[in-house]
Amino acid sequence: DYPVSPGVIDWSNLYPRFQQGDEVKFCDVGCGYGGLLVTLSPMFPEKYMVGFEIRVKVSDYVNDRFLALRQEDEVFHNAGVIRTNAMKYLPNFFRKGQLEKMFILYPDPHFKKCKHKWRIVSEGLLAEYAYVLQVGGLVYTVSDVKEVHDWMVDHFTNFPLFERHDPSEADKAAQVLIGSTEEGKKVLRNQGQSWTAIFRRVDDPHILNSQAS
Amino acid sequence: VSTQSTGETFDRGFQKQGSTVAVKRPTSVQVTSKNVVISDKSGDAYSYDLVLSNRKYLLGHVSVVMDMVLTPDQKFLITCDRDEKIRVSQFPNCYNIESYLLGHEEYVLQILLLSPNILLSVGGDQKLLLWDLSSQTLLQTLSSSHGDYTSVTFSSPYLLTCNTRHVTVYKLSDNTLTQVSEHVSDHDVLNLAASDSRVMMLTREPKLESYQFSEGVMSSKSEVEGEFELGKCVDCALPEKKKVVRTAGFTEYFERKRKRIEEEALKETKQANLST
Repeated sequence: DYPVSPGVIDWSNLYPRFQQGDEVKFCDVGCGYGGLLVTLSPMFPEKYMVGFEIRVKVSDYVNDRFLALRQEDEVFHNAGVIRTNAMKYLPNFFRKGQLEKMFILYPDPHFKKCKHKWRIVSEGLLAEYAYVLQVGGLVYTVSDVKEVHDWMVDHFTNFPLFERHDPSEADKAAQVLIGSTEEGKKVLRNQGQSWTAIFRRVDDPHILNSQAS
Repeated sequence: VSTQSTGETFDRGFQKQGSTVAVKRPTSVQVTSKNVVISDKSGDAYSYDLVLSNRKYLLGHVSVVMDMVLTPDQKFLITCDRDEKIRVSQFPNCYNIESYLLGHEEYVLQILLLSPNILLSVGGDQKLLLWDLSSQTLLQTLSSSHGDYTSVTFSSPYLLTCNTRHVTVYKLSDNTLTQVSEHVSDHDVLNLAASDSRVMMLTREPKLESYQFSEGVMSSKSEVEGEFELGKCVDCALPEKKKVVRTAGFTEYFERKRKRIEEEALKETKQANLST
């Protein structure tokens, strides 16, 4: 369920039109039932995007969903799902600086303090997200739990390689964050609130400082 | 560092300089002229100053950090874990990952710097991988035919690897390892160390054996006098392997799915037959 290294994956198994030299550019970490990918796929037809989902049944459902969608409309050829543990295996799938966008939508809150280590946003994992993202790349986060949103904002902004980012009007992905996932639609139905935050991968200040001195 | 999660530093005269309680059980230590870096069983690495105060979080792996190496120029901290990964991070800005050296298919037990630019990694996949750090490429793969690696040590230019009772000596030249000699012990070798002229082996008996070591060949065994008792921590079991555990849940689910699809297809054909 994960390759030894990025060099050995054959992405054409996932994408029927994948060519030599193509690369996956968007990743939905914890893609659930695939709602975001279904929305983004026709919006960014020239970009390959993948969802990572750890649950076997759910990832299989998304796989079947895309196979069915592709039979109706070839537009969906650029999106796919992989059943894997994103916390452990991101560097196995992506080379350094490969991704343009990462999505962390409605992550599991893991409320108990002893479970905080399992939160998808942690100081340790931020280094890995910074590694797979290109400088200038964006991470989009959403949660309907204020504490989780605050936690993510706090961690990302205090991490040297990320800065809070205000999306431009032209950022189509930013506009569909809440309404496109099953989770998001449920929150809207229950008239709950969702908080979003976007972060940009920046150059290492430590290197810039030592070059200056 | 001890397995009770404490660490202590001593100066050259063995006078204690400082002590601390580590966050979790330490797995590896590296010392520089200014800091002590400790990795632990949680997968995290911290740096301290030489009197073990001022703890700073450096980096975290999601699984146990099994070994750690700081490059002599102190520009990179290299850590390896149970999830087959070798991570090269900049130092001291360890949040900035320089690269990953990926190639092992089981836990990475140990990593050794054979020269400022050449790294050797030892895996539970019974492979030794030789890496060029500057180009981040794999130079050589060696496989064991004697079971799992239990310990590895390097005394330039000789690499000694141990697979329970089987010790193999390689010579490193021109960035390539070639086998020079082999030695089979009567007892499980728990640890070994080598210098220019001598190899010491601690066996499970327990005995401390000493050999002359010349041109990569061990000879003239003698035993170090004294009574030895092995503490609990010496006999560390190797981690469980993954390949075995991985596929169980999947096959069940896909079996059930296949059956369900078959049954539904059968129902559909029956109904189709009924209506004609």
